[in-house]
Amino acid sequence: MFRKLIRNAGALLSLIVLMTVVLAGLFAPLVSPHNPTDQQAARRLMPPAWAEHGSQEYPLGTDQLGRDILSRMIYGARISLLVGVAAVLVSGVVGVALGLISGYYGRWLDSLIMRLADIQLGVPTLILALAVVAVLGPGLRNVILVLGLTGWVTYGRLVRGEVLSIRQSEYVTSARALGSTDGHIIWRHVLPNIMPSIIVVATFEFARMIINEASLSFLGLGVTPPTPTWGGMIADGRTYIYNAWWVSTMPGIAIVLTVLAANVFGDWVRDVLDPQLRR
Amino acid sequence: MARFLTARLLHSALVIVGVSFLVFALVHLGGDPAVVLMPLEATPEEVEAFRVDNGFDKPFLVQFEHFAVKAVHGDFGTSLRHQRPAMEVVLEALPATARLGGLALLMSVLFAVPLGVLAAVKRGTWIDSLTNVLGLLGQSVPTFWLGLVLMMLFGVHWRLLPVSGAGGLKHLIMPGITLAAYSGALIMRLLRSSMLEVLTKDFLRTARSKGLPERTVLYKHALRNAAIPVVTIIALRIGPMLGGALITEEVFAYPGMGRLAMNAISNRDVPVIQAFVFVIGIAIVLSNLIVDLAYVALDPRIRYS
Repeated sequence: MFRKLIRNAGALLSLIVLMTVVLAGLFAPLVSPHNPTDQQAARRLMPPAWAEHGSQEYPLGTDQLGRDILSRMIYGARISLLVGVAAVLVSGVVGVALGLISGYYGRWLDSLIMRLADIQLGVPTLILALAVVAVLGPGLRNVILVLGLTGWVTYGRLVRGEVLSIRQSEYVTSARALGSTDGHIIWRHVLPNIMPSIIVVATFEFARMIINEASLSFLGLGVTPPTPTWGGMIADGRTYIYNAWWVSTMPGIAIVLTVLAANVFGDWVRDVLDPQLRR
Repeated sequence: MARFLTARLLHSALVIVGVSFLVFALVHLGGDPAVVLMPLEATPEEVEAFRVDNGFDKPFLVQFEHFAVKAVHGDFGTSLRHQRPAMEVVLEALPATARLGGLALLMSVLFAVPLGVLAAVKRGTWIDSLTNVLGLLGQSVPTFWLGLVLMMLFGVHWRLLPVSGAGGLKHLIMPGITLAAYSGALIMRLLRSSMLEVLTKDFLRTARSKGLPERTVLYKHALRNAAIPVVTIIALRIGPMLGGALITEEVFAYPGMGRLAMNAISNRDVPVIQAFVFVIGIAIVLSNLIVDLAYVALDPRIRYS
């Protein structure tokens, strides 16, 4: 697997980007040049270092309150990654559990869970998340909960479909004939077989969750200021698109690079782990 | 066929009931619905009076029945801000969103179909790689940021297009592209893989050996067969696109349902939010229903019993 990774330049590059973002987020206090919330009124809206009037001290410029954009982007990575990972975990656990129950036990449980999925798909994730956050109030915990609990359908449907075919397989039949319990069969035979597909979907979902979190923060319904978030930074820059393009542009590039890397990496993981899913 | 139709309609009705339950449960999420629905400055006596007037002192399921009966009649209460029926306010903004969404859907298909077919036919060439990069980028750029970047380039820098508002077709170009990007990329990638599969089929060899021009073979014989999974995805995109429309409208200050909902959120105008979510739900259920019925009509291989 590692050798294959080296041979695939795109996948390797995307892994490097992802690792950089993770490390930057983890060691934010050590690697960021400035305090992300430090306001310098005299240094408002300074352009990036390479532009006219730019300064090496603020490589990507400063925002409307004179805060260093690079430092805020590094701290913003923490929120994006945290929400991305946590929301994928919550939705993954809920979705896989419901998908297993639905596919393995079938009958009325299956109908019930699949109808729930249909209802959930009747309202787009972002709109549902928006409405719930609007009532519950913004904040890190609510964002994770809302994105996590609305994202299960993707996993649920995938797992159900795979379990339906695995349930008929000979090794499951023989395990049952040997007297294995349902729990044992699910845990030892079904789950390991569907794990590759789950990992592939989780990679793409991670990318989607980062965009969803950024969208909510952009709309002012995500993680609230003064905590720096990529979406929130882009919202800050909206007012200044006429004279300070960098305020919105820089954090956007961070989102695109991270999400692109996750998507490219996901494509590669799919090709390696699950050739059947290859498109 | 009649049985399929009945089952399918029942299913749609069930989903609509489910969506209305979600919408109903929304006001109970924040704890006391009377507090959620009343303005912040309302006195405790006013809140109590409101609670009794609207039956919020009754059991949960009784309240849902009450809510559902009113919802069937399109009654979601009075908008706190507009002082008019919430549903009326939402429906007024619907045509603008429908125009934007329809244009974006058209744009994404017009972008995706030729490029998807081309990428499959020229598999492994630079054209394929280029469309692959385009597709990945399109799926990785957040809607709201794309909107801002387009605005900065075409609105502020080159001054070609209006930055915000609504008016003629000019006002729809940038929001349309913004909203179309993700779906266009998705449809293109899907069409490519679907075409690759169809291109290996025997009936294409037959068509070619009959002496049909390559254009006819590709666009009539191959594309028609590759289009089936793509049509499903296009139908499934309608929901997420309505979510994207909300962000796009907010970015471009475009006066549609999404912007209305965003304003409702900042004003805590819950009846409008509820009516909005309900209308979106109905739109999605109806579009899924139409696609399912269209399948039966279009594809003779699909038979429902």
